[in-house]
Amino acid sequence: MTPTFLVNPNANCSYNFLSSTVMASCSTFCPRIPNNFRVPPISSFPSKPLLSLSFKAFSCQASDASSQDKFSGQVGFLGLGIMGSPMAQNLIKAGCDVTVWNRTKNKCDPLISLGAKYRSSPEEVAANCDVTFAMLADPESAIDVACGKNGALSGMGPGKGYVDISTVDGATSKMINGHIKATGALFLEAPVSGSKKPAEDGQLIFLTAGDRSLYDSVAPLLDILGKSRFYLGEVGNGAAMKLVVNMIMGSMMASFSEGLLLSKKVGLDPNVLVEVVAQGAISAPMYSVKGPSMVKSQYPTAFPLKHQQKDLRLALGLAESVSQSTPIAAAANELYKVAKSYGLSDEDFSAVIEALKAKSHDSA
Amino acid sequence: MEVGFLGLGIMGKAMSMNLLKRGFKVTVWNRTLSKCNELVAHGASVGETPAEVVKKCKITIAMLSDPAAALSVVFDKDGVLEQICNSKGYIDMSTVDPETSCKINEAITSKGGHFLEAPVSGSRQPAETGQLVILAAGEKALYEEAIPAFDVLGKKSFFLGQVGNGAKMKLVVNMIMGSMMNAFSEGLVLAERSGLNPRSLLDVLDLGGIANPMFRGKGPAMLQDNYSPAFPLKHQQKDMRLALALGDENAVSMPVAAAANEAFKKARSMGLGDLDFSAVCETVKVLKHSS
Repeated sequence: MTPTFLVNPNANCSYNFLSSTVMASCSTFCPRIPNNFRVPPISSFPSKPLLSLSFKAFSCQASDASSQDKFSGQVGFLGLGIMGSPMAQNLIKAGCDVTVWNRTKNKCDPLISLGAKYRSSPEEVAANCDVTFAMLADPESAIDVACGKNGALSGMGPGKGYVDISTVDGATSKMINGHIKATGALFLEAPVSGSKKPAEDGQLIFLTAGDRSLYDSVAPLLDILGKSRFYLGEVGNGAAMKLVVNMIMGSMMASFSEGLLLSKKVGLDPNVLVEVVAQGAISAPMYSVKGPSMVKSQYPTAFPLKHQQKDLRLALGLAESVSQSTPIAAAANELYKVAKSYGLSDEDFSAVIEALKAKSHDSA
Repeated sequence: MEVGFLGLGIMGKAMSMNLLKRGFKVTVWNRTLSKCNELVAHGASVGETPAEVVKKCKITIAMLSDPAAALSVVFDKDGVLEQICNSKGYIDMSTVDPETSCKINEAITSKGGHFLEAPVSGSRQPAETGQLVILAAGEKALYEEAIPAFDVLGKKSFFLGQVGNGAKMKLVVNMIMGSMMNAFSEGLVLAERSGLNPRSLLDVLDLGGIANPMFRGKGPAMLQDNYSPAFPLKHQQKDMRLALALGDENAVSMPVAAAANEAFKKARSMGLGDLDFSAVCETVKVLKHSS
């Protein structure tokens, strides 16, 4: 699907409205800032005129960071879902200057009450921020927010950075990268490993790739949001790493589900299976955390099943692109598809166990 | 306490050695008698046949490789049945199907003997370090009597009720393990084929919700095509087959396990049966579309 995006060739986005003191502290972040700043014609601006923007020179950092690890600048955050909302909150709590946008505006309210600014489109957020994060649900949303109508692209330019934390396929990431770079801005793909609780606790794992200088600049922000970060090289590598990890995870959850169900059907207590697994070589936090609720047929959503299935589908696509057969992942993917057909898309991905159970003919 | 030990393979040798080191009197037997020598050097006695061992010991533990071997030491000439009686206990720690276990239980108890099935979770290293997880079922009184030995052999024991439950629990655990190893293999190969550094994948996995000792322990060796056996692939495939049979009997849907079993079968056909079960990774590497 070809996205429609808005790039006004006359909008010389090579402006900056940073005061000189902030420019100095930003020197590592904005390598291309010209010494004098240019004020483009007012007509090319979507909303507020430049000069009404008051810039606060302050910095935010992780609580255990050294004084060197500061980020000075305005941070945009697009997408306030299960992940984006706690992530934006963590940035605000760490003292960052955050501007938010979400497709459904009321999701922004809790952030605004914590001190976030609000803009009514990705374009406006990007235009008013130095670095803009995006945390969307899937490739379609990621493309739309970056390159669609009133998309971030139109607000990007030299001196700015776009960090896409969404989990997408490599081709989508490369496409967004191409469009962002064409404005003169920097791009970093940065999907994360970790779901709702790690997002809330600032314990995510960043799998980044793209512009090294942008990675270095936003490292203090990544350290607020996460417990570790990887720089994996060229755009596409972060996306691939994330898909491989989630492919393994999806297969593991499907296999665990088979085990729980089999244990119950042959007269064992599935809770004891969870205990036994926790003692041995295959003991994984995911099993201990989710096992007990799965046994009770409860699937509180930390990672929606529809997203796990999306990731498996994309991983299978990646495997095909490098001529590799992945029979286990393919079998697991089928189970997630069945679970979706049972209406379990928005449940936690552990609800895949339901796909293994017999359904009566007249169940909903 | 005097304990008999039948079967000195990868597991049996390490387990009987631990018992010796912790002060148990152990009488060993192995089908290939020369395997007993090292245990004898550490103070074990030798029984020429399973029957001889049972005659000498109050409790006899068995650690055989598969159902056929487990049945053989019990039912064959000079087997356990010839000497089992009311004052003796037999603990079979082999991994077998529930039917085999029930068959052995019936034979032992009908001669007045006491029986416990006690398959373990854990391979060579936990066997050597006494860190096995023991999944016992059968006679509770024999279980209580065996606890001093179990405390040496393992880090935790479960009593799961009637005979058959231990076997079932073991098969379910190994089914998950076999599928996980396949998923891991697919991931490692995909990472490499996509231009990533597989070591980075190992580092990422170790930080998150799916980190586990098996990935941590075997990942680095797999990246170097090192499949030195801790748990032979042929035994893993046997366990998957038995787990699938259990699923068959109970009409339980198990598509991922079925796919994993196919991979292990393929690995056996490639001659990898005696290598560690992580060698199933090699089957992922050969599956390449022609471009």
